[in-house]
Amino acid sequence: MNKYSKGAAVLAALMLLLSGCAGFDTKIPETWEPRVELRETPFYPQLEHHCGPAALITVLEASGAAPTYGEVADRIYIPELKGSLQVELMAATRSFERIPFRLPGDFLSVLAEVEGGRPVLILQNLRVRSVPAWHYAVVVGYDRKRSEVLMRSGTERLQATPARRWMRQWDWASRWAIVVLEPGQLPLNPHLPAVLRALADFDDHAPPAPRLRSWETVAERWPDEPLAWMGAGNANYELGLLEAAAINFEQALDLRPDSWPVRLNLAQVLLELERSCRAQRLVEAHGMPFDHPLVLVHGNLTLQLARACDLQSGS
Amino acid sequence: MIRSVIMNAVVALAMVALIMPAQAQLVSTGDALALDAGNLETRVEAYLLRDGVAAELAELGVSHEMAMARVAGMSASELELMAGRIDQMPAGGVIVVLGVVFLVLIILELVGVTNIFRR
Repeated sequence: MNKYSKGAAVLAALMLLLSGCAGFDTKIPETWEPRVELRETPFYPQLEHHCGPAALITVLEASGAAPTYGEVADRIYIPELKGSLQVELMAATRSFERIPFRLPGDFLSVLAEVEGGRPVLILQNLRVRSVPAWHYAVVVGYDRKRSEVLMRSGTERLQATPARRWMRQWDWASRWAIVVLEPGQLPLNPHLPAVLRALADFDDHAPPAPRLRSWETVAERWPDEPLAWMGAGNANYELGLLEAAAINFEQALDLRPDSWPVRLNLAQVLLELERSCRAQRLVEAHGMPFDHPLVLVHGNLTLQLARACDLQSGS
Repeated sequence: MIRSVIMNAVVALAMVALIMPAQAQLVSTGDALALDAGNLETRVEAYLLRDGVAAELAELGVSHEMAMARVAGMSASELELMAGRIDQMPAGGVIVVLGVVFLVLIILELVGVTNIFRR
């Protein structure tokens, strides 16, 4: 073997390594639409460093929200960093009464949402991991035959990126992808724990009506999930619908008799519905350990219930 | 042991402070999840990080008023992610023009100067 052929062999090996490089599987199933393009997705050409706000307002609008560009930028742009952070994109989404769901980190999870009509916001690393260049873009389609991913990106209304390259840029950004949905909608292949997490976060920052819609959707899909009924109960309570809340909590408690949060919430609602003696029995049926984090809530409620039940039975 | 008892007392007080005023506030779904995961304490502690994170954002050029509004919308785990680490997180913002240098860098990284399978 002369040194040229040795060189050629190294080169060939290199090429092989490169072409098969990541071993990313970017095959799109034959049964799917050959080409999808969500043409209605709005387009906001990125102003300098503003790919975050541009990408976020794109998916917010696609989900039916109508914030102004300035409102979105005010929520997520960080001047000194000349960019936006993933965490803030999630938090800002909730402030516009939409729910962000993180998608699983595989190629088809992203394309499945797009095929189902939802644009997907992704983070990309346009350089390398050692010298990263972070960029947000919105996936709006794909082309199976050309093996391309279609995006709203930067100043391009429709950017077609070869699937392999797209996959590498996404992989080098930890495969971060979210869909932004209206309350009452779920990702196409929802993973229950992730859904519960997303809705619980939404609960802390949103008004009760949209929260009720989203928990009802979860309860419909997973009727055996106690947290879904609890979430619906909390929202109904805040809406002043005490009877409905009590029914929700009863349902949750049937599914999970050992849940103190559910038990205490039900007792509180029954107290306000002037069914204090029933509530008292409910709270006293189980002993609460003294080091339980909810022990003061429990103690306080027990006192109120004892007084109220006495009054009720005395009258 | 003592620490955990004290912590529980702090958590319980914080919960009561949340739950008692005006019309009663119910135990939230977030608290229920945290209780199941055994980290209700960290959840309550995380909310104490708000002011610090807001101050960090303000230092990076966000107006004080907006910084407060932004942290108010963050969940406990989001606050934990942000606190003290804002400048190490990926800040998406560039328009990148790929030059030859970066093609070389990409090749270097692909052939294993940095392992592709390492996340």
